[in-house]
Amino acid sequence: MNIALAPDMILLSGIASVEDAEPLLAALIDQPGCAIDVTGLDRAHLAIVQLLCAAGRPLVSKPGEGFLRDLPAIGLIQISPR
Amino acid sequence: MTKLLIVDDSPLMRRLLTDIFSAAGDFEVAVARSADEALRKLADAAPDVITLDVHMPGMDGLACLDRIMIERPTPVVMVSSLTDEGAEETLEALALGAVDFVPKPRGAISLEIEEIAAGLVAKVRAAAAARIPRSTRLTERVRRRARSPIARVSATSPAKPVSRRPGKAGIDTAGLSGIEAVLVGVSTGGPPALDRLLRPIPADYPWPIVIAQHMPAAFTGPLSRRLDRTCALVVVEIGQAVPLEAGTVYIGRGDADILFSRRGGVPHVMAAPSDTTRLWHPSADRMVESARSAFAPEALIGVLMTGMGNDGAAAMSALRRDGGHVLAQDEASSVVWGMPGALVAADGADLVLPLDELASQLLAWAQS
Amino acid sequence: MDELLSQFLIEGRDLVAEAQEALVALSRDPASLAAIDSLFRATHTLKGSVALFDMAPAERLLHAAEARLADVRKGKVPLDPATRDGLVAIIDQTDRWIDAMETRGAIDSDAEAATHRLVALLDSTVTPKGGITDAGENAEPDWLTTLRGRSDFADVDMASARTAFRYTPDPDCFFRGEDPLAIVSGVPALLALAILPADGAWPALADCEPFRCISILEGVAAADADQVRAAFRLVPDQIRIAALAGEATAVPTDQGIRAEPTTSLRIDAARLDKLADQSGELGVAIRALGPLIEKLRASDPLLAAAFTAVEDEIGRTAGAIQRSIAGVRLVSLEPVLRRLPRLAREAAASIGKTIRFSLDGDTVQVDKQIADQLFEPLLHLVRNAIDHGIEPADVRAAQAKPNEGRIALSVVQDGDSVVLTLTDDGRGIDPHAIRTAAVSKGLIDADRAESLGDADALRLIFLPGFSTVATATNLSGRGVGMDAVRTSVERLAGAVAIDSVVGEGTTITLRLPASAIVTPLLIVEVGDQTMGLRLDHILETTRIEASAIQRIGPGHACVLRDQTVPVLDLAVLLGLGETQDAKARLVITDAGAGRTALRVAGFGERFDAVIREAGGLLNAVPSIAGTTMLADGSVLLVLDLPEILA
Repeated sequence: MNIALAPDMILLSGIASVEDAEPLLAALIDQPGCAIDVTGLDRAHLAIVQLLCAAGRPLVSKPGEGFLRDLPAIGLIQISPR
Repeated sequence: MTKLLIVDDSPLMRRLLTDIFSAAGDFEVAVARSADEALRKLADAAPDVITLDVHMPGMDGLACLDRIMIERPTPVVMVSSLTDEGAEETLEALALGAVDFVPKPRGAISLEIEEIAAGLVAKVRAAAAARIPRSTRLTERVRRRARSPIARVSATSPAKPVSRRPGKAGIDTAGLSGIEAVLVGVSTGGPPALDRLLRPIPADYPWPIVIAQHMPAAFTGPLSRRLDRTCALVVVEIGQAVPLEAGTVYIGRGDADILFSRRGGVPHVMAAPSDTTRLWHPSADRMVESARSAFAPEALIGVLMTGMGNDGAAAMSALRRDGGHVLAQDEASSVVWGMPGALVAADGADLVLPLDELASQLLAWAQS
Repeated sequence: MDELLSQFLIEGRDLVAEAQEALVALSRDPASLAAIDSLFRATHTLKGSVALFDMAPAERLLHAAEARLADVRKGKVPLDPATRDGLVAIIDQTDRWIDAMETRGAIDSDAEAATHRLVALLDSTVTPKGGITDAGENAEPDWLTTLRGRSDFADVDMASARTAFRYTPDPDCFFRGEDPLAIVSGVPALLALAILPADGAWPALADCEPFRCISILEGVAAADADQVRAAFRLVPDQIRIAALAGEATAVPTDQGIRAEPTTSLRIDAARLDKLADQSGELGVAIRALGPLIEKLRASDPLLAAAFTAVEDEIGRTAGAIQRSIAGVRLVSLEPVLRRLPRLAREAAASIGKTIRFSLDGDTVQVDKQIADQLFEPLLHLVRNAIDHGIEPADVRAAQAKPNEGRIALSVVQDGDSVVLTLTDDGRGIDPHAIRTAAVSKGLIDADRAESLGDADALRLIFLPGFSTVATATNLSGRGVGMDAVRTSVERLAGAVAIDSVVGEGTTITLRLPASAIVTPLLIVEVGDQTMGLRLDHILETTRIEASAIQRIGPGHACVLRDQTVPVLDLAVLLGLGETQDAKARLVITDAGAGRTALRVAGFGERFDAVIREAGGLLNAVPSIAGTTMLADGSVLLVLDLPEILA
């Protein structure tokens, strides 16, 4: 997975595997208040998704695309359309 | 052909192991159904290597191992179950002179058996070529038995090798400063070697010591507890992220890797799911690479000890090239000189030392 | 691995019996250390055995029993009657599962529940907290009520929802390489999924452990409960599944209790071997009747004729028994062949080649010995084909061959033989290179090499010490060449043939007897050599003083049991000189005309051999019936006594 920082935004892209959880956690702690753009995220391990849940921040993506398309995770945090 | 003696009371296990090793093609397999039969066959079968089940009726595996080591010292690979109790017995067996251990094969009808078989065969092949650890000699064992297992070596122990062998050739007597962590990679023959590495080091040692000992998950907890009993240092198994502390030994959790991270500026160590692109876990290479992301190379000491394969050699030689400090265990004192051999071949070690002098060097570097 | 299963059925029941014995002993003397040790060991070994099969609940159950017994051994907890009852129930359950493995090849579908119950029962004996049983079997569990009310699921078409699940992954599951999301994505017709904090609320980021699973996954699917359960088969202890309205609640079935009557019976192979040995001995014993009947004929011809009729009848029956036993020893070759494709692919991958391995042919049955011993030579041939036959990808591309090497194994039954044909489309074997290599290795001289036709030149690779590649590779192994393959096949009374076209590939054909015809032999020393004699030609063996052999006319004779028997020196018959011992060792045979005593230098052991018809050079020697391979790999000549005495 690639983690990129933009003003007020953390951009996640590629395939997020379990070992990406530690750098993601560090980025979330270091950048409080940033929203998270998951448009480019193709697949995510539960270790990543649960951090996104715990962060409780707005997630930005296009509906029906990216890492959640195979999982109708309706109970997950609201995703705002980009 | 390697002559292998399989000692197991279960016909099922004997059959499975015989199938696996016969299929490997370079083993001549003999079997024994009990410890007594194994001891009777020892002279005639003249095995190059033995696999030994711990639990058997009559004489058990440990007693059998003890007798083998007295009557005809032979490389022995324990076949262990991955339980706490199995781990304790296996560690005892390693202290008694077993070269290595393999987990009991499981899931024979699943496809994984071929993979399990490959690992099993590789370990037994390596063991057949291994030096039998010195601690198997009778005098050594008698001395070991005489020591109380819970006696902690005090910081002023007269057995401190530094004072016993001052200025011994090969030891670098100049002290180092600013060290953040000592990183140890070790595999086959590791548990008894770690005991001898850590015993001489006093409780007030100024740096944390982080150890990647290749092992299954069930074994590193018991190993940590065992070392904690016998060493002056505090020995813990790595789990959740904890801040690194001086005078503490961190044993990487088995089947997982070791990761360093700065949290709020404070260096932490934690267990991470194993990186499946690497063969051995905890991975010494990954430990060193991760430490490099948290610390300057000059702040790190790498120690690569006995073990098959080459894990740690790449990362530690890079560490030395970039200004870190690296020790390799020498061939004569290694059970299998794979990892340290690869390091030495890559010109990655500042010093190549016998097992007992590794501790001396770590102590000498800490004298400032 | 079917043989492993049959081994398990035998061993597993032995261990159950051992455990039950120990439990009985413990009911008499709860403090018996020997019984506790025996029970612990049996439980431990059983656990290790069930772990080899698809019996995860049994492993968990036995693990619980073993852990408890370990505590008992350490004196941490007493072995009270309640604990003993719990252990008895666990061993009984294990016994039933072993039966299920035999009759259905799998344990009951409700094994999870049984394990849960029995572990709880055992736990309740130390921690009397009343067990963890779900209150009221039919009442809806709390989690399902909560799930129904979940606002996240409000949009879901609950009318099509048939199954709800709650998956509580083990907090350490990431360390085992599991991704619960990936497991959930395997649920068919998943309608909705909620990812919930395991502790009721998500922790602050600063308190998060990145590699610890802190989630619970709940969802509903339009698939049946069984299909959903199948998606979670690797984590059965972490999943709760409930059928939603419309689905009848599953009724626990009792199918596990009444096992299907079985028409097959599993027999330890060693016992079958013994039976075959004994039937062979029966045949030999019957042969002893003949001389007695001959003796009887002189005084009572009628009685002798009656005896002869009975002797024939016994002989026929004994022969039928032997054939039946040979039939029982037939096993399918399939388990042996099944392992090859995967091993071939792995072997190819390990040296960076890709292959397509095809396996076709009949379901062939062969003697157990052949099935047991065929795998190694076959694997060796396959590895050879991959290693030396199939060219690297770039070479293949240049020759317009398909990128992946083709290796095909066909198995055909041809009368009493099984023919295995292994074909590759690799570089083939160049007979000129073979001739050159054989000459340079000193295996054959240059003139002779040149006189060999191409087909015969190819056969040179079967000579010991031949290898066309200068350095052995990891794959094909060191020091084991085609000669080892030939030896293995010939030990099974088979033959190996080779055919190759340079640039197009190689075909190796193994022809083996489907049923090994085992002949009991007696080894004798003749002159300075060792020879085999068929036991059914031998009436008896005896030792007499050499001085008791008298010259009669041109020949020799001695008196045995009041009968004069001609004595022939086997060494002289074979042109090996004269046997000269003070004690004469005689083999009495009726293979020639009447009884004859053959003088030999010594008797060796009796053993059962697969006799291979004499081929090549030996074919020209009329006194040799065939050859057989001894355990040490040396060849034993088997004499054709009727021919020698004719």
